[in-house]
Amino acid sequence: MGKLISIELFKIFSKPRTYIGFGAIIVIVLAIEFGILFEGDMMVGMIMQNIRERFIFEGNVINQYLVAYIILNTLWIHVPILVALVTGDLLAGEANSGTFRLILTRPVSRVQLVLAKFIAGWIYSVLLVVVMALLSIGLGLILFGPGDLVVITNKVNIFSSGDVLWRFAGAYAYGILSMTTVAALSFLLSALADNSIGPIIGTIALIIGITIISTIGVSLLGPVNRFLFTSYLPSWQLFFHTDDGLAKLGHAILIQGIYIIGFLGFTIWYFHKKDILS
Amino acid sequence: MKALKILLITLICSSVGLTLQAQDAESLLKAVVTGMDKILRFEADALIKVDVDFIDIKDRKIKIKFESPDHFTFDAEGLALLPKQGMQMDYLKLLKAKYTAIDVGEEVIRTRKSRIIKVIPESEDSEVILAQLWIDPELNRIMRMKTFTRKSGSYLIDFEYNTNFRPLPDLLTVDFEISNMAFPAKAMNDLMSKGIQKPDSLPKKARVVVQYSNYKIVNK
Repeated sequence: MGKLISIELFKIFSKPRTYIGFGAIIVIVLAIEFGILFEGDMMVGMIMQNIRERFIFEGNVINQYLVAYIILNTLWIHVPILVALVTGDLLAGEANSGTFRLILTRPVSRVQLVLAKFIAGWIYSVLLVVVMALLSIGLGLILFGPGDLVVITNKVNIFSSGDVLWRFAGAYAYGILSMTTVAALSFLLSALADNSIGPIIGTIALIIGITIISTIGVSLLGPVNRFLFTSYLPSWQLFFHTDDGLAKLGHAILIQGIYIIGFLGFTIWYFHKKDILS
Repeated sequence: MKALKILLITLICSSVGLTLQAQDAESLLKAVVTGMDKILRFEADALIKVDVDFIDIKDRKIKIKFESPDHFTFDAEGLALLPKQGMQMDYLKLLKAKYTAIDVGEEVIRTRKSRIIKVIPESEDSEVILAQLWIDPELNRIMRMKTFTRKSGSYLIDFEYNTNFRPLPDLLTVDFEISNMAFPAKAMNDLMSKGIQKPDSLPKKARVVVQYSNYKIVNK
């Protein structure tokens, strides 16, 4: 199995499209960090105008953690696209290039092949989040220095710097979980298709479509919303809530887990009975 | 004619009384300033507790340094929220400028008889438009102060002292009102989980308690 996974990883990292993801992450993180470096004071001043009228802020408001937090907010926007770019190609790419029959003549079961491909895709997704985490926090430290984190939800939460690292670790771990759901979805679509464009666009269309419908039509989809995986993509923010945030996390993790098992289970079942014609 | 005389005498007496009252008030305020002016510099530790409905911040320790006449530096462990009024001896700036003072009575503040003095700054640029001070005339210390500012509303500041010899407070309680975030906090947040939030725009009561310790005072 280890050999299979390393072969799949080799295939993933042999394709130029894989590096689009890492390149995009680097560009986005750099753009946000330098944007905040030049315009951050104005942005924070505008957001916290009311508080600044009554209080003097003593300390470093714009620091590595605030910047990393802002970058984390982009997790549900562009990282799913970058994940789907690779995981949507894992099975459909082989079907498109007609290599399945060749691969499956080897003494490898279909379940093993699917699992190896999924694990390789998952490793790529994890690496994307890890690169994002290291770059945003590391560059943030160089450009802005350390400090306490100010998070604005329906109230202003100010976390001591000593109370922040575990929250970020949790948030990134949850980010990996939600990107695994995205990877499982695009992997499923990849099994259904014979070229990779469909699964990549399909994954993004599904995520954006469900999100728009469930946001605009809250009253229509209210009861269903809590069972949609898209409702839980930004749940990493619960790590930065002081009230009942962590209590809600259990439900979010459960829903994501069910979707991952469901998507992956369906993919294995479908691929196992699929006629390989190419 | 007799009635006119009585009226004239009453008017003269009341105006003399008011002038004397103003002089008393001013001399009391000057005594407060003189007491504070003896300080060349001081250092102290402070524990700041912020109690605002929509702000969640743990108590913060800061180090305060003061250099005469009005230079303050704050060294905070992390991020601290300091009230705009009260912590920087703002009353000295007010009392060193031109003002009109009126003694409006007496009130007991924490067992100390205090004179209530209204101070109206004469400068049009003054941030404070009216202040009311409760002054302990025996120890020449401010016990309470209410200020009405141009831009940041009104503040009620209570000064509590543990000793009779130090003009600086050991406990400072600053009460004021503050509105919740007017700007949609969504700039830093998600649009997905709750939609646009509408924060309560009604002003909320805010309290900041500053507990001073380890005073190191150098007098002139």
